[in-house]
Amino acid sequence: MGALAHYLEREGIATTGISLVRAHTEKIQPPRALWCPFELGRPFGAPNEPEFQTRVIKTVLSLLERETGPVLEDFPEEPPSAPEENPGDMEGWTCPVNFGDGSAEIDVDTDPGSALAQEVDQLRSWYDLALKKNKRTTLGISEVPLVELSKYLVSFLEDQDTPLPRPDLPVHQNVKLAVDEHRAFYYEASAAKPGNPSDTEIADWYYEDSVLGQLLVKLNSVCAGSDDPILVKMSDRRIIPVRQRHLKGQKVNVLAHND
Amino acid sequence: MVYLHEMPEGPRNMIVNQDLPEYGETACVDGPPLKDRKVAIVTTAGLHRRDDKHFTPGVGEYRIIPGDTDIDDLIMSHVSTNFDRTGFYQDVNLVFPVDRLKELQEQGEVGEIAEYHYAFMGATPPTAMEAVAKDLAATLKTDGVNGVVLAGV
Repeated sequence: MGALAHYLEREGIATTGISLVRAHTEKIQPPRALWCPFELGRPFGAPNEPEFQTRVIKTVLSLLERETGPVLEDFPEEPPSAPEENPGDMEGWTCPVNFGDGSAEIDVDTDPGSALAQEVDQLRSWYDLALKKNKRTTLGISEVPLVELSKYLVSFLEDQDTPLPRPDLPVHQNVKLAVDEHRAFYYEASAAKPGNPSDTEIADWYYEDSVLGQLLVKLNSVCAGSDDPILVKMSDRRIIPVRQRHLKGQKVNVLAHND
Repeated sequence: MVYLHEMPEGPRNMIVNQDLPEYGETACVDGPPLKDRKVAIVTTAGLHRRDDKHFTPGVGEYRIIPGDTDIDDLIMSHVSTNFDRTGFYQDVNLVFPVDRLKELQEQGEVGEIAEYHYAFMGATPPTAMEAVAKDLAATLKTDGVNGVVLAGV
């Protein structure tokens, strides 16, 4: 973000920007920046909080009128917390997958394909609820049904030359689409579960406890041992987040460029 | 939460201690008061319309987001796994606050809103973005934009 500010301003376009990592902005020194104490991924604070978002954008826009820089100011407010949907429920968020319907949980090591299909099926009603609530979804960018992507992921673990769901794209892009589409489906479904889960709660369940999370760990290992350098690079940071890799005690390389 | 200060020291240092270029100081371009400016949003969240080509890691490129785009049609093909996406799933304005900008224009606090907004992917090496950023600056000037709000993730 800071680099773009330099490039645009040097070409005569006045810029102002949101900073989420103050140390980066102090080093890059864009002409005008507002550091905000928000989560990474949330530059305007909190979802569905238009009044708060307005205060953020008004503050950052006001810096445009500053004629000397570099300007680095601090936004004085923390973002509002998500409202409690059920204040009487003190048990907090729980995993959205429930095998209490009489069906037995399929063991992921014995039959990963069926275990993943069962988990996706268990999440389907939560995903449908999320779609109804949000009136939008980020699922579907691959133009391949999720069930086919699930089959591909499981097959890829055993055979990296398995047929591609998108033959028009290289292997690494097929893998990335499969990973991204599952994440979209799982996260959107999980966020619909009562209890207003934080993204960390969802991530801990998704990467640590879910069937898919166990398969992603295997996928990461397969990619790390691949002859394809792009798959190796993906395994370094693009399948499992830095935080989760740290929790698992896996080696984490220094990131580059907000990666 | 993906707050830096709540991260364990290891992953926090991985993010904070990134190898970043230094640019020195860039002089601020002056201009009229905000109420007379034409403003565009430039995001580095890897956003684009569903039918647009996804971002390619390492490639300096941007996507155009027309001002009349249905924002619920926007998706994110950013490669990083290290930021929260759950907020974006719930509310696009959290990342791309075009509705807030329109409200400020209606209230007379912002002069005009640009016909087009733009998206980069923040994981791209900054040097790879320089040429296309200059190209974008020329486009913004042609469109009469004299204020850009930048926001990453």
